[in-house]
Formats: sequence, structure tokens, C-alpha cells
Amino acid sequence: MPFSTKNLLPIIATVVLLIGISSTLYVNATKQPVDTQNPRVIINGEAYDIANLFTLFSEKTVTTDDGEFTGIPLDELIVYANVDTPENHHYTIKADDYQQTVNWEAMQNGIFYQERLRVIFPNLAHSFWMYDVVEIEVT
Amino acid sequence: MMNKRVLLGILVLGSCWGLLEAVMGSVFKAAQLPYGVLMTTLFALPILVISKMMFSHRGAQTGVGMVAGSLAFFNPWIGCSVCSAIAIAAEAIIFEIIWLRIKENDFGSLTLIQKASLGVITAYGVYVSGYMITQILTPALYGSFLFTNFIVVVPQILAQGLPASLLGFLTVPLVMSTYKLNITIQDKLYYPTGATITVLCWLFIVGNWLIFIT
Repeated sequence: MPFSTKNLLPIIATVVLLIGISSTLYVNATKQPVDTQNPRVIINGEAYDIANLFTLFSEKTVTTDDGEFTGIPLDELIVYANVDTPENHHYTIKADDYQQTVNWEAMQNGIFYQERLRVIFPNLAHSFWMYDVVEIEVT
Repeated sequence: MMNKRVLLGILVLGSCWGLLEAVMGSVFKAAQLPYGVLMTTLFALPILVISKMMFSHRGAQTGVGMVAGSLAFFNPWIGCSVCSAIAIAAEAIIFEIIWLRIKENDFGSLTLIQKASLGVITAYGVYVSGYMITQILTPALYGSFLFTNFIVVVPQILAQGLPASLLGFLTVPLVMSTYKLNITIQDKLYYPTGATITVLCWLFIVGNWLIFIT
């Protein structure tokens, strides 16, 4: 390695640490406070009380490569939220700092799991399984 | 041109990394520890630095990552074998790019500060790039990659790289310091031991995967 590059290493490392620190500060500053007393989820633009949602639907158990999970079917949630022709839409599941978009077929297989407000899709990679879901946007 | 000794070394290191990913990854995950950061800094980086110390051949570290990624694909315990395999292969390629200009004599000539700085840069670069590539390729594999979804997660990925870089500050200089030990293994011990370790790693993971799927 050339002498000049060796001497640059501490400077590059400092820049890297500054990027990490500033990103951490940004993520913490923009974090939305979670209402733990009365958690809600927005579906198709309308807010729903999560505890109430879990009393409205019969639970469904899905078998995944990470074990069995029981929750309420996501497709039933979407129909309940008055989405017309659900098969013609895409669904962006949003957490505070993460989001993924899935199609209707995935929604038909997926469940909303109450513990840590997770969505679980047995037929998709785990990067689609999300924690602390705050919104399901219909596009 | 890689010789048989180098190829076996790549197989051994890649298989050990794949095994550690499967076994320790599931332990960290079960303990709800930051699995990705710990796997990258405690196992991936040391194995890649060792491979660079042993084999300076171009493509050796990518080879180690490909072997580990292939083994991770059969991981029966971690859940998302696709994400894991993509992340491992990506980390190895990024490591090889970052360390492209590091030569054999640099292991002895770099000062402690320079080694620690290299640790910070490598850990951050490898972890952040691996995470970003996984966030692009995994949805793309399922035909649902959207740039807007990726942009939302970028600050989170850049922030999660911070603990990785701090751990890299410690692990990389530590592993690089073993260069002074100058360990060599004779051919009559190297080949049988290497082949045995490789076969055992694959048997353990693939065997458990077969049990899991049947």
C-alpha cells in the first residue's frame, strides 16, 4: 500500500465514524413515539385500534421456516378496510424506519401477528417480515 | 493461478464461516443480540483477514464468501437463508475491494492506529454494503424491489454500521497482529486436515437441513 494511502486511513476512518454517528442521531431524532397504551395501525388511510382488530377476525396459523405463528389474516384486514378489487393493488407495509411492498398473493398468505406488531409472510424472505408496523398503504 | 493449497484454504475458511454463521447466528438471534453486526465483526472479518494473510491471490476472499454463502443457503436454523447467503457473498466481495491495495508486507508495516482505522473502514464498509445489497437483491428476487422502500431504510443501515465499525476497530488489528506468529502447516498435515474440516462442516449443515426438510 502506498505511503500516502496509509496516512489517509485514520482520516477516512474518522469520516466513516462521523457518518455513523450523524446517522444514529438522525434516526433517533426522527423516531416517532409509539403509543403503547392504545396502539393503532393505519390501513388504506384510516387508523384502526389494534386490540379491537384482533377481536374482529378469526385467527389463522401459518407454518414458516421459523416455526408456527398465529395472527389475523392480512387479506381479511384489507377487505375490512374497504379496498375495492384488492387483487389489483400493491401493499406497502410501513414501520418507523423500514418499509416493503408486497402483492395481493403475499397478503393472502400473510398474517398480522400481535406480538411486536409483526407481519409474517410464510412464502417471502424475512426481509419482508416487519416489526412495529404502523401503516399498510394501498397503492 | 490458484494452486490446490489455495483452493483448499478457500474451502476450509468458507466452510468454517458458513458453519459459524449457522450455529452462532442462531444463538445470537435466539438471544436477541444484534446478529448481523456480531456475525460480521466477530466471524466474517477475522476469517476474511486471515484469508488475506494466507492467500493474497485476487478472488480468494470472494471465493471464501461464495463457499460460506453456499453453505449458509442450507442453514436450517436461521430462517432466511436467501438473505443470509446474499449478505455473506456481498460482504466478501466488498472486503476484497476495500483490501485490494493491501499487500503482504502491509501486515507488518502498518502502525496500530492505521490497522485500527482499517478495521473501522472495513467493518463499516462491509456491514453497510452487505446490508444494502441484501435490501436490494432480496426484494428484487421476489420481483418487488422499489427504490422508495430502499431509501427509507438507508439512514437506519448507516446508523447500524456504527457499532460494527467500533467492533472492527478492535477485531481487525487483533487478527492482523497474528501475522507475526508466522504459522505454517506442512503439506502432509494441511491436506487431510483441511479436507476433513470442510467435509465435517458441510455434513453437519446439510445433514441438519435434510433432517429439517424431511
